Amino acid sequence: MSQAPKNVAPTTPYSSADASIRAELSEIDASLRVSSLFFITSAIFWLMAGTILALIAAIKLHEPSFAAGSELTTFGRIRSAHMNAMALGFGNNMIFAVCTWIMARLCRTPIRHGGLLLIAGSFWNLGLTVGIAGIIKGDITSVEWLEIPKYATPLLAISYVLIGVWGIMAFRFRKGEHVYVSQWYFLGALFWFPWLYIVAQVMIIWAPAQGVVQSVTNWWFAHNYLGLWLTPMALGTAYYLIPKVLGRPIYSYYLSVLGFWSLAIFYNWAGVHHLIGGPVPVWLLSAGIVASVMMVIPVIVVAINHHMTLIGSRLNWWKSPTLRFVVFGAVNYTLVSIIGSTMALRTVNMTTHFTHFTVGHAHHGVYAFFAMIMFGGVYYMMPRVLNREWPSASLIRVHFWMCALGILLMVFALQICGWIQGTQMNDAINYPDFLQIVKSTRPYMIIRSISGVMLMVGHLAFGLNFFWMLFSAGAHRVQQEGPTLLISKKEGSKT
Amino acid sequence: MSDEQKSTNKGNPSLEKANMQDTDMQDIHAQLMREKEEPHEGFSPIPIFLLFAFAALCFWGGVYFAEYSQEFRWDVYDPEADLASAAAPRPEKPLAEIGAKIYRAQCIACHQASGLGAPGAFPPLVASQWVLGSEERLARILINGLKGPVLVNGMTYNGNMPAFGPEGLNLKPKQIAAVLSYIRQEWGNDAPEVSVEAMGAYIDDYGARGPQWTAEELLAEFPMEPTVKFDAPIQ
Amino acid sequence: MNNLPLLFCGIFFTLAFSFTGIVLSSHLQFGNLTLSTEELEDDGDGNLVMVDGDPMYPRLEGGVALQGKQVYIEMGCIYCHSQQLRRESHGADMDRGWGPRASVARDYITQKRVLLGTMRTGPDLTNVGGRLQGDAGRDWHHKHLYNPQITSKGSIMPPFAFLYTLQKIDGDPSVNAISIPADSEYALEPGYEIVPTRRAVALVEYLLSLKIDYSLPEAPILD
Repeated sequence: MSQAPKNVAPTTPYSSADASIRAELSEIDASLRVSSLFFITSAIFWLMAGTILALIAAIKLHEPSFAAGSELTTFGRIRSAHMNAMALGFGNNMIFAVCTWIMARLCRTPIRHGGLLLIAGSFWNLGLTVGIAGIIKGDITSVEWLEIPKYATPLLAISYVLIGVWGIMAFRFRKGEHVYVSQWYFLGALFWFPWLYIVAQVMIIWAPAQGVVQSVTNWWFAHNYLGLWLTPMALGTAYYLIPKVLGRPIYSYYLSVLGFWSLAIFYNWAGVHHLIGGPVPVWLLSAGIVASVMMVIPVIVVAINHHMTLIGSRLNWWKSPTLRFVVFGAVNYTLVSIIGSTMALRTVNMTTHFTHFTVGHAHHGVYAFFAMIMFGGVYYMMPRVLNREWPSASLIRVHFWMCALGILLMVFALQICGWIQGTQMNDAINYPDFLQIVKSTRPYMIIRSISGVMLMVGHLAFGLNFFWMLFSAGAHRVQQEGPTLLISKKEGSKT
Repeated sequence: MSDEQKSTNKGNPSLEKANMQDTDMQDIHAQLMREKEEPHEGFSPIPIFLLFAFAALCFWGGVYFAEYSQEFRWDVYDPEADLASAAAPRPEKPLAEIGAKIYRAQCIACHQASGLGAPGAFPPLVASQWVLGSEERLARILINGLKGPVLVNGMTYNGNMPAFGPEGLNLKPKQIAAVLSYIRQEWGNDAPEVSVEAMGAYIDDYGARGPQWTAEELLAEFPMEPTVKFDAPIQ
Repeated sequence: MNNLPLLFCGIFFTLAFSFTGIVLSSHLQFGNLTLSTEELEDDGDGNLVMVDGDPMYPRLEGGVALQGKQVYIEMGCIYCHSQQLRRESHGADMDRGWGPRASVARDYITQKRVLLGTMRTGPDLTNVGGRLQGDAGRDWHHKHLYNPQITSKGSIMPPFAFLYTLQKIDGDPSVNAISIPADSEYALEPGYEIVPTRRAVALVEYLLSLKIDYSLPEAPILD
């Protein structure tokens, strides 16, 4: 305040008019500092907890006597605790951190009631802790993707409502006319998720519908948890970060529109493909299959849009930690979706259903696509929120390579395993004894555990780097001039 | 470099307000200054061939759904089912084919898929006189079970086969006939099928007998046939 | 996109569309099925129809088996075992002898929580009570749950030994003790026995109760 105007010519290619927008962004970043730190710290905690649970579950699939002495650590519970820690703990906390931040920036409005977000976040993490403890204790519901016991879900619901309301408030008080594509995805997801969650809770847990109507509702919810919650959040993040880091516009507005609406229409219906061959009327399954195949449209559209935006800037996105993760995620979005559409075809599904192929597919989608893009988001967001640089490029590299190679190894192992498993299961003549099939999965389960260790190393590197940055105060601000890049520090303007 | 930036923004009301709240907020730091502008969209057209491809895909979706929606009926679970001819009687399956499924579900745990059993405990079914010989003797073993030592193809086995008749798994006459016909004709065995009627009669006769048979009891009533390789069916 | 009403309507109607098409229509179309009678009759066109009589099938849940289902839920068995049989021409469920017919929607109407499952790390259990029955089945299940290696060497199923009690034989051996053959490598020290807890007993009764042994109008057992 007291300084004389120096009229600094910034070391960046922007005019001073531009600086007012930057000041605005700065204010937004600062207003979200506390809540985003809270969410990311929670997310990292859940990531670690989820990884440890995942490893225990993975080892149990080839060494069944491992940690088998107590019912608290039996496979069904550990696996479910892992899934909920990752999907609801890591996933949602990441979304609350990264997507609210992007939303606030795009709405060009600092948040008004930061305390609200903190209360919501505390409820969320409290509810989840109670819920996961409940799963381990034995109050698991055994409804896929809805394992959290009845007594913890209201806490989650309250917390979610607060966050949803916050998102709509931010949008309500936005500045500027144009609504960017990321905001469509975020708004859609914020609205879709509570509808899905409440309907599923009511029709399965609180007032159960009759018979397989429960299963239909279950998979309508579970698939849409990925399709209408994680996917739009990650796509919105990618849509923000790719043009932002590269400083060039998204290739085509028209493709964005087509991609958004085709996703909104088709993803909705795809969930019932998890019941192909099951006791569900065939017309429903056929509808699910058609919708799953139609998902090719939004996927191809988004792929073209991202690819054309990125084209010719390989060095830039490879150098930037943010974009390296985001591009990896975006490429895997295309891959996993095409594989998913194929898996929905009846002839293919006959083999892949009920096997590790599906498990591999789920990890491909949630991790290689969603989680990697969220990591990218954190790498972009934290320097701005904290006003510091990432302390170690090497740790980022370790994080990237361990996670990228680890998840690819896992997906390959599980899908090859699943294909073998499915082929043998459908061949009663040569494999009449089910034990033969079980035994043939074992080597792949060992590979999967190895890939799990790789992911754990990656996560440790990420956590270490984050807390280093958080606790080492201003040291790096002074020492380091440019951003932390993965290739060279000479050109310092492209994180 | 960034702290000074705020002074150039005196004219901006929102910033002035912020100024009064917190000097820190005005810190337009290095990370922000090097940022590119907020994202916006270009307006490249959608490639026309893509639209055609998507239209074709939508057409495929419609055709597929029409083909496999089975009139939206709740009670049809097979996409290939021909609703019009559903009433036509199904062709009768050979007994041995039905028996193969039952064998896979119930028998392979002990007698193995190969029919060779396991030394000492589970006797082989391949080329065994117990299987190929008397139909009633064989049926009794399945219906009531067999306990104690039994001599098969020169080896003694001491197993404990449970009952599959009314006092055990409760297989129906047709299922018993099916599985016996299967083991009598699989793995190079070449004894004739057994009949469903005969099995029904046996179940009526001693289905509720209680204890398992012993080999001695059975051999007393049905002496073992001479061990010749028989080409003609033996009753 | 700056047309906000369009954006909001679109967001609303896309999900409303699938909610109506998948969830509501399922509920209306097959959310109120009734139990089937014991006997079915041919209506002359080759269709089976229910006749007057006591509604019997599928059987109601209850008793010890229902307590066992709670144990099944608590242990998360669903994550490795499905309870749905696919039709003859789709996969080999029938060829494996896992059950006499494919399962259909009506098979689940008496279940308060439906445990279809979507993974078969282990075999399907829809009709496990038809495959393993009576005392022999009970005995097999107890051994298998206590330590799967006893009955299925090389299995990757976790042991549920914590549902059993190892105790010193006091006087006569307990009648419900698990029979592990003395010459097995899993045999106990002489003078000790393994008895199932109440939860293990219930779980096994539940498994024994899982069976498809009845025809339904839309799914007759043909053989």
